[in-house]
Amino acid sequence: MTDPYQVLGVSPSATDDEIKTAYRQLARKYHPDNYVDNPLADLATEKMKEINEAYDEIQRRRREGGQSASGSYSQYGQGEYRSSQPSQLDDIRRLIQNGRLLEAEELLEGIPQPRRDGEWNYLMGTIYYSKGWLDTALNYYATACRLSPSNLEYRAAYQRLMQQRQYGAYTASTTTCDCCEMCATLYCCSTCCNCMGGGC
Amino acid sequence: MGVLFGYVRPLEGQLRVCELEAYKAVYCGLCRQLGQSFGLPARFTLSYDASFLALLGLALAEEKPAIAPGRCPFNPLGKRPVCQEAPALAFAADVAVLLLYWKLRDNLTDEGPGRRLLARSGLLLWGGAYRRAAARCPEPDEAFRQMTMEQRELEARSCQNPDEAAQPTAQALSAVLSALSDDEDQRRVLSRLGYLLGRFVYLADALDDLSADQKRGRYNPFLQAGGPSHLGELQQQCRGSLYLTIGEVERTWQLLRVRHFAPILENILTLGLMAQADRLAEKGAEKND
Repeated sequence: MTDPYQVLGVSPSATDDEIKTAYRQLARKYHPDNYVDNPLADLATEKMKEINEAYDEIQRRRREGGQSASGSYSQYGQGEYRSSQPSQLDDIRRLIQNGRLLEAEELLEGIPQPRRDGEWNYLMGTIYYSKGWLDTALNYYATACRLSPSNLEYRAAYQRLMQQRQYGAYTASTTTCDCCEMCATLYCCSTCCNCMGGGC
Repeated sequence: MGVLFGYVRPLEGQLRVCELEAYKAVYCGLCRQLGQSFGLPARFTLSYDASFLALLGLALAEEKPAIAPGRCPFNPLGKRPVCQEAPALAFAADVAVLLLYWKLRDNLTDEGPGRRLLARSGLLLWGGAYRRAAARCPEPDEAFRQMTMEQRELEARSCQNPDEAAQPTAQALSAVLSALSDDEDQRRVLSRLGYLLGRFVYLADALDDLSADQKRGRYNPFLQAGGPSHLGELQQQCRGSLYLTIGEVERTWQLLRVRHFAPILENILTLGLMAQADRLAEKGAEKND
């Protein structure tokens, strides 16, 4: 196994709290909820497993060394939000989960307009999301929510993309710099100095 | 519509000093590589986008990138850190020349006899370099050829869906980035990352040209799609599409396993892209209000 401290990106001398913080940050980043409908979801799950194992391993080592401990989040499974009602679209959903997008799209296109319900729109959305047609996907998700307002799965997918549309990268919201003005000024000065034949 | 240049770059103020030095060293290394592969004039084609490609290739490679002091012919005073020869630099230089060539080919069909003439002489000048690059990298060459053809067809029928209009560029960059790794899982991540980056670059360029295209009545996917007629509002809506793409870029990037330069790449793919989106969305705002 690789070094569990390296997996969490902390030094072996980090305190329990530092380790917990690092673990929480990574767990939030790679949480399966972030990768619902994503063609790379399996890689995220793998990464999440690695992080959980690393955290548990550190806890185990420290417990043996007589330090305090608390367990990792319980195993995340996919499909927490899956709706329970059976639907005639279940087969198509299975095709999408197996990555057979073209077939799934063709079958969906074959369903006549009056029978295109929330589930139909949601599945269309996931296909376009996989393809990278993000705005089209968002439109389908929105329609799915409108047709089935109580469905949590559709709502989660819609909100995930809406949030992204509003805020962009998650990292950017955590790296705001109050002293940006100052940074910019310093940067300009340093660039000017370089022009004047400065050392670097 | 042009494709590229310079939208994929770091937000330098948020890089640590050592990271900025490393980034500049890769930039200089690529410039030197362009000179070595294609002669001095090729050095003027140096772009941020190609530097990103070089950086990503170096980041995925097993060996640690070697950086040593070197001289620059354009700035002969003193030495600067320069990234030494590596396969990733050669690849990025080849891709840069291929992209330039296909851009010129596209300009041949552009409006205006002046630009056509310019493109024709450019093609004569770059023909030899293009043939060498294409022989070394047949897959990216084919990807750009496809891109150029599909793009032309989309514009001819005034495609109204920005998602669809972005697809040719997205698929071309997907093919280019996939070529950076042999590992199956890594290639899957790179393929999606490339797709999303291509999408970002295309849509950013469309946003950049929005007011000019509106004035001259040229094709622009965002104008075709309808939406608010007020330019400022339309720009905000376009920024939403860019943000949506950046969020997805970030999510995909997190799954890539890189050996070097991770903080620089993260800066480019999150803060850097966000800064570009903001800059383009605010473009000309003073004049409009």
